[in-house]
Amino acid sequence: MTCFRFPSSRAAVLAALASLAVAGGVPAADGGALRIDPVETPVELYQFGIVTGQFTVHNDGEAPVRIVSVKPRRGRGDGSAEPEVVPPGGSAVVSVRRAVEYHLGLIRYGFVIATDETDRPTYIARLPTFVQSAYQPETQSVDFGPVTAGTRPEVEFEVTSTDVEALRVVELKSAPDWLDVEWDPALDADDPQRVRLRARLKDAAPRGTLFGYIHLRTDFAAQPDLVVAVEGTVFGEHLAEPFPLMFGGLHENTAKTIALKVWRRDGQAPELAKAVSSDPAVTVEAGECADDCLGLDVTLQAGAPRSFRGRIVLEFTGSEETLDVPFDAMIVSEGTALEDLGVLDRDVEFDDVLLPVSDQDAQREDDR
Amino acid sequence: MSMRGRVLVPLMAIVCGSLPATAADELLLRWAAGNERGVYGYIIYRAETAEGPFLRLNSAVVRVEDGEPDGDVRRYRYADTTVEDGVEYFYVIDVVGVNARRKRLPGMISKRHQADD
Repeated sequence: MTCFRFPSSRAAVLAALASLAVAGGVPAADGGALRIDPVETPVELYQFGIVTGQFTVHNDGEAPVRIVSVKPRRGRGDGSAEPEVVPPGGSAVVSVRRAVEYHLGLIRYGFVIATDETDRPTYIARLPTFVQSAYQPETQSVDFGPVTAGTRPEVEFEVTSTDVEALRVVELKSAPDWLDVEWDPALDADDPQRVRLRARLKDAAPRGTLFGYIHLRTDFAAQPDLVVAVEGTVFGEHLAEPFPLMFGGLHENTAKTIALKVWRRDGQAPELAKAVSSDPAVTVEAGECADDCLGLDVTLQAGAPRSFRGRIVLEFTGSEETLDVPFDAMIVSEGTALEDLGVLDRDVEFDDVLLPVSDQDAQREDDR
Repeated sequence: MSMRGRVLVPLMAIVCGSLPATAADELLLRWAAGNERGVYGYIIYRAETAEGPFLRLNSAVVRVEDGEPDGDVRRYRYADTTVEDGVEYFYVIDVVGVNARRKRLPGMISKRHQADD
């Protein structure tokens, strides 16, 4: 395959850049004198950076308007207006900043512009922002899966950046206290854009479901923060299946029961002493199981639409060990279509199953 | 469970050919894409061997809005202005979803830059 040189690409690039210019203003909102020119072109930056932007605000009223404060609707940030008092027929430039933190993708950050207008004290200015990661995979995670207490399983994972010629991890900023993290500080001879790391559970890792984050610092100045999610489940003398309990999607005012089975490693059938649910909608009753196991029926009585998670804590006769069984569910309105995707492998590409990203993410806002 | 987000892979064709040369220090990449729902834009990478390593060229993503509509597809161009005479370059392109996930598009473009083409 061949390509070619272009005679005057600079002109084309300039034309393209010109087309990215901010679009014109929108009419003044109901009840207010100020009109905010919308920003159409997303600000692009790396994850964990600070997005900055500017809005032009016009005063279409007949009286001066003082901009009292500018701040993000959520998250850390600030803003200012110059001038603070916008004369009739005049305009001001509102500058904003906001930390993007863990966000990723196309987001519209909202900023509250507070004024001294009695009939319209606040306005919302939205800054389209495209937050990208310097690393691939963009959302890194390590999953130990089910683990036997006292063992020290190790998981290797790697992070790549094609945004730099060579990548180094220079510091472990933080990690869960039940985890060791190691890496080779030397560049990978086969692929200098790749770093291989190892995560290992400590002997004293607590039992139950573990979840945390590994915070690393790399030498890539534009995005030095690299965050890796880590999870696993440490079982002691008791084992449970299924684990965790995923009720999935339910219509409101319906019920769903999952049969939970619990075994002991020594082959003896556990005897339930107590079961405590963190949510009153989830209850536990005796169920059926073979002689060597404990059967429990865990029922969710779905009320009003909501998404929630919790846990059932099981206590056993003759044992000091408790077993925390997490559960999660999403209760939806009666008319909502539900499609059960089953259990998906983390690497499954489910392009043909999910709704298109544009439907899910293009409408995302930081206030959702 | 960690699940990877979705990036629809555009139907894409790298369009190659040659144009009269007036800018001796540039290489132009052109491509066309359809079915771009969920796509935010494109990132271009360059290497000096087919095996890489490939390094990102465009700090600003080539956005879908930068493309020129042409029937069912959009046509894009990107000028690499950092080429050196006599050096063969290899290019690959990632499609970037609005969820910021990148996915490498199939195909690689190679070109030896010659100022007197």
